[in-house]
Amino acid sequence: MKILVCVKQIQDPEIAPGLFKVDEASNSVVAVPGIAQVISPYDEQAIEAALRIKEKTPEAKVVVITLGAASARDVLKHGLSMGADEAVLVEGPKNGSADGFVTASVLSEAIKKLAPFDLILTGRQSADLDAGVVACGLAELLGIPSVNFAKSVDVSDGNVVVDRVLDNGFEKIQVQLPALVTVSNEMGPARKPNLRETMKASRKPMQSWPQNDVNKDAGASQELIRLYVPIKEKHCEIIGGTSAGETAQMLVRKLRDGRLI
Amino acid sequence: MSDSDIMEFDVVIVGAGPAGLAAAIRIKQLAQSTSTEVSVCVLEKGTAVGAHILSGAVIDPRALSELIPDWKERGAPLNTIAAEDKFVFLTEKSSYRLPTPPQMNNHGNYIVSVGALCRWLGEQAEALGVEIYPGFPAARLLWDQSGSEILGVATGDAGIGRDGSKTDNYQPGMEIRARQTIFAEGCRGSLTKKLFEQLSLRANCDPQTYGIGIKELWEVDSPLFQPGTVMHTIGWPLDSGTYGGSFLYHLDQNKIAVGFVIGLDYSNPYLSPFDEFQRFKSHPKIRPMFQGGRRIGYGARALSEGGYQSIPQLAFAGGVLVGDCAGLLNVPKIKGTHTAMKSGMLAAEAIVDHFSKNNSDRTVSDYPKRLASSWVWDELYLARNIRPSFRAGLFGGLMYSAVDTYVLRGRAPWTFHNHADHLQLDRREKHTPISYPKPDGEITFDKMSSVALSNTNHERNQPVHLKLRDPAIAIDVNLQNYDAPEQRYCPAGVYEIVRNSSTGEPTLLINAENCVHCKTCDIKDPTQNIDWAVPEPGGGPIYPDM
Repeated sequence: MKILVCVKQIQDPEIAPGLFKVDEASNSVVAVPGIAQVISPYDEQAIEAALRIKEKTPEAKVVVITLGAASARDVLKHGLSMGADEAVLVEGPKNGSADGFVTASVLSEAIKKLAPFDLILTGRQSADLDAGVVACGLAELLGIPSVNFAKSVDVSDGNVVVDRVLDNGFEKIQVQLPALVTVSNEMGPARKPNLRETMKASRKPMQSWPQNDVNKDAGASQELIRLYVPIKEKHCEIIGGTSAGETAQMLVRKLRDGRLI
Repeated sequence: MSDSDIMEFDVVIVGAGPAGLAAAIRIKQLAQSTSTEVSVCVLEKGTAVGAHILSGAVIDPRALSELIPDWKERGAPLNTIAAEDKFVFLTEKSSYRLPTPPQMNNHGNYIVSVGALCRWLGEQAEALGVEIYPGFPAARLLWDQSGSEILGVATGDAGIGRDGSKTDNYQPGMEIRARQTIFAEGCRGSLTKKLFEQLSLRANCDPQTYGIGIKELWEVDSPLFQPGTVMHTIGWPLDSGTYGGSFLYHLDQNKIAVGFVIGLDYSNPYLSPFDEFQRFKSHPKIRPMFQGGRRIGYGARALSEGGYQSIPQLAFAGGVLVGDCAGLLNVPKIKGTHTAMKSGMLAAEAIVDHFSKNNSDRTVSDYPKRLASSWVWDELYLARNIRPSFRAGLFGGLMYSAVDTYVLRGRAPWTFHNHADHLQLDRREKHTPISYPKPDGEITFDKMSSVALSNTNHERNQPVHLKLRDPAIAIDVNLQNYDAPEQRYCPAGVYEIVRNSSTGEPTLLINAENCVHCKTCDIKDPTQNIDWAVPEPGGGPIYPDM
């Protein structure tokens, strides 16, 4: 059994918001010098889900794959240190940035090269752009069923059984393999890399494929018009009034004027 | 622990700072040149190499040039040559330029980020075959049966809950055994402290004395910015009885590193190093440099100031001490990176020699001998009386230092002694609380917004890593006698006295998640009631190029 986990490298979401900077000229996020980028936490939970399956099915092989710059080797190494078996870096995207369609196209071609596979896991969305479209696109391009927002993922008899998070509860879905499942944070915290696996990680196979070898034609279908940090404005106004009733009336009027109610 | 949780190396190094990495590199260089195999493992508690390190820093490249002569070609991040040295005495409203003492002459030195330097050294080490494991703190010492020999270290367990029970994410630590363990933990290392106690390594030296350094990194937009400028101030806002001063270094790319160091032998329990630093930035000479700028980093770290007379026994059965956990900082020079690196290199040379002679003695006694005949020793010996002379106050210290430097040239026939910092704190009655100005949010800040910039993070569900030996002392002694000084000397707001809303009964709240691993509490607590231990793997600050 082969489980592929698609992961993404992002800016560390735990660092101080004050350090977050956008270069508006190039519409890109400026990496904070000296601070390492990390694996998107939802993707880390997808690896966790894969490793939980591997614990029950020891012959399962977990392969971590990412589309990213050379620095993305670090997130692959993170996956291997958690206990994954192999890793594949697809170097790209070609123009430095990719929309969901490009990412899904490139990954789908790379995954075809890794066939046969049984299960693809990803995070429910990336923790930086939060679009959540790559996974569905990937399943569509590969022609396999997909289930999103998994709280738990179990594999038995050629099927995957998913507890899926809904707005008002959960549902249990069974799908025939091969299939794609996106993992939600309800999965629970991912394991930390342990030292033994980390020591082994540098000896585990890590392939690196230039994007051109994988997919020459992927062109973006979206154009990013503007990336910017919203400006937060704060105003404070003390509402006067001689009695509580009057103050309340004035407050209501203020809120109405501001179209807040 | 089962056998499978043990790994063996020839050398394990605790800490990927300049000392530990220099040792690792030197071992591999020597092994290569003699075609022998020496396996080296470096454990580092920061999640990345450099994530926990903090220093001014102007460094003397002497040791680096000895270690990697072609560091320039290899792209070492020494980008800014120290150009101008300013030594300034501040009063509340004015400033007076003083002659720069010769030790503080930075000709040929570089203003660097020690974080960036360590990352680069880490790459060099890995290219030579050193295995570096960031995010895995060494939490325990491994002793032989008799408790007198070090067999290695064990990494900390992960996934222990706040109440001490195992959670679902429990992962046991691992034993790393080695023929030699190099302790390169930096100032006040938590394992080094245990070694001192168990092996009595401090029996024949003075107590170590310390300072706390608090630092900020700024991106400035000021016409006063001049890459290469090095400025140090003494005087205001400290009173003349308190040892300390500021540093202000202009790096490249509009960055300024600014910080304040205060000797931890200060006596006023109401003093707050953090607030003194903030107040310093409001000085009319200093403030304009930061006007319109953006603060991008904050952190703090204790440093050793005891010098020559406080150096402990450095080699023992199974291990050696290098760098600032051995206390090798040169105080008048305000530098320790070069001595740290050199000590690591000398330890490496002694250890490789020891191995090659198949010497069965588990103590590499050659290392302290090599250190004693190196330039590190000369530097520290000549500087030994400067820092202690400041116990006579700022002006007494300055005068003595001038005589010691220009007339005696460090060769006075006497050596002043050091006294333990935690014993220097006066009781609250002798002082009145200091009223510090409110932060303006532009140049001066409060503690919480500062700590946020250190990016420190600790898993909440874990035992508190700042352990009180006797919890009652926090109230009965610290609050009663000293008005809970930990609330002020901690630069991260870890300690907080909270009172029960109905009974008014005080308790000490320890916000361990805020800790930036500076070790000040472990040093300054008046009854040594606080023990700093490594937290769960992955905890601590993430410094951006500090």
